[in-house]
Amino acid sequence: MMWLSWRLHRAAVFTFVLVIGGLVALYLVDSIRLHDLYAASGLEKCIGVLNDTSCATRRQVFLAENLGLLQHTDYVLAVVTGALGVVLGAPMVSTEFERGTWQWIWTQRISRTRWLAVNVTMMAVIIVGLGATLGAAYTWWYKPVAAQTGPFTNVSVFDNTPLMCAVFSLFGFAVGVAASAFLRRTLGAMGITVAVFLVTRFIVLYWLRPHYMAPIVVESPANQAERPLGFDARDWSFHSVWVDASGHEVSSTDVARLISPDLNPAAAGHQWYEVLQQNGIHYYTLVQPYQRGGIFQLIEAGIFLALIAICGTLAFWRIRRRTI
Amino acid sequence: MNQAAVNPAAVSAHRLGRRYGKLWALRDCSLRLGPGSVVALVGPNGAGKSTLLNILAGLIEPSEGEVRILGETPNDRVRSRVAFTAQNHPLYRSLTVAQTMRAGRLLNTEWDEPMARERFAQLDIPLDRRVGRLSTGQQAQVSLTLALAKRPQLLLLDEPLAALDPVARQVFMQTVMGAAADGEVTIVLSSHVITDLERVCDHLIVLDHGRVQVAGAVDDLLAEHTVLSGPADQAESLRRNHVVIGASTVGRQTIALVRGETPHDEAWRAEPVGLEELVVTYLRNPHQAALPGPRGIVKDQVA
Repeated sequence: MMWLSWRLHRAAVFTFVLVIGGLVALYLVDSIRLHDLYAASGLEKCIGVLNDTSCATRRQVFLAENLGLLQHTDYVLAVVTGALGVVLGAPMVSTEFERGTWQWIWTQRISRTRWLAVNVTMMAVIIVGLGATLGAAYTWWYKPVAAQTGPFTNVSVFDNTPLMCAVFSLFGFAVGVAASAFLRRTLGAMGITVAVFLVTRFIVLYWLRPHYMAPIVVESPANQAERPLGFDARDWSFHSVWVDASGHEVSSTDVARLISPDLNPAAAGHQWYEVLQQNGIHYYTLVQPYQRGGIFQLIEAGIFLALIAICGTLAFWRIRRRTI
Repeated sequence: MNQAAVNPAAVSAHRLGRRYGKLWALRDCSLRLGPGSVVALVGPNGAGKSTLLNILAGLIEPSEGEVRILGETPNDRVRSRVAFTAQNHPLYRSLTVAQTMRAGRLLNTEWDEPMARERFAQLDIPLDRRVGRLSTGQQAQVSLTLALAKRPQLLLLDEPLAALDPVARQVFMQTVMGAAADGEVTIVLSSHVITDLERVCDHLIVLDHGRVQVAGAVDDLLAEHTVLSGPADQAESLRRNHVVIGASTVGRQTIALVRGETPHDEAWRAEPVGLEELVVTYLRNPHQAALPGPRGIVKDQVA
């Protein structure tokens, strides 16, 4: 059974081995250049420094000038990890129906659940291997940038570790197999899978990720740098508002009114931050410390593994039920 | 082997039904196929033949009723003794014949490789050619050979001849007949034309609109039915006194298919019926049925 499974899927697997192998080679070769430039840039000293304009500027310059051709490959990576799952998963059951071969393969001695188990296990191992390899190469290449940004402020750092790449690919695969088992049409299954994959990832990224653990509250005075301070540059400040001395939120319109000399004569002759400081208005910021990156990745991987388990259960349940 | 002593029916089905949404593809289907019989499953397109075969092959579950295959409810072990070739003989087109054979060997516990190789050699089917590049007739042969290599006790062939040219049909049917002559295997072949199967089968099942209309041994069915031709003005009295399955009148002559007793009247000339005529007459008269047991002798059973 393993042999047949491999024989029927190997063309698709080889395609991905080529694509991913190419990307891995690019990252490894380019990492030599990027790591040298980073060592020469002296940015090492800026790690974690938030309130320093020269550090901030040098970081920006480094990112803008040195990433080169591979600058936007985080998008490529997101597509490839997703596609790895979708392309290998969505045809799994449906092509058997489209070719009619389900009537042959499912009337042999081997049971259909065993058939699915062998197929799914083999492909899952391949997908995890390829996804993790790609993630490892990217993480290595991106190491200097990650050192500066931390895991949260730059989504590419969080999402493209070996663990996360493997988990996302596997998730796409699991959704694909389940959609395939229910729809029995490859194109339809692919469409559904892409939609479910993207929507789930967006929901997790923007709604769930900030809340895996209770954030730390940082209150900091209005300042010349025009930004909340009091935490590490690599920390994730995902929610920041103005509050007054009693802790009530102040709208930005009210803040604007307060610091405008035309509307508030008392503000005349003062810097805007001085006016706010005098009024007790300060930044209220919710922060996830960068040290939590690893545990957040584990939590997110756990969420996706649970979804993968659900998809897998659905697929097996659908296959077992001998209904067409 | 006490199984042989008990000698269970190859297939026994009781009030089998299969529904797709609100539509019944198969309804109230009761059958018993004895071991070693060669059964023609005939009916127009959409009559439920494929649905029935899919249920017998264990591919789909009936919505109602019970089915026993070789004395057991369908399970993994039974499946190893049942071989099924679906319509159009689906196989992995990208695999070569040898690879397909290897797949069959790996997926089954019982496998007659020498027989398969010998048959491919006899039929001049190159083992290294991809299945997708074989002719339709050769694909059908590969499919049948793989089915036979399982050494099945029940062989189900869904429209096996549909896509084949006359020569390929003949070669295919020779293989089937060889398998039938060999031994214990029960063979069910479906077709929408009975002529394809007439020479091989000893049992007939006619399905129409998801129901079994005719079931029985071919010899019995032929013996039970008679074609009568006689004067049209006596057709009414014939209908009253005999089981007339169908009749057609051309000019002043009526030709009728009658089951059971025929009139001792010189006005009617009796002739034996052909299988095709029998099937066609039943299909044209869907309210008529010829079934074993008490249902079969009810006259004009209205569905």
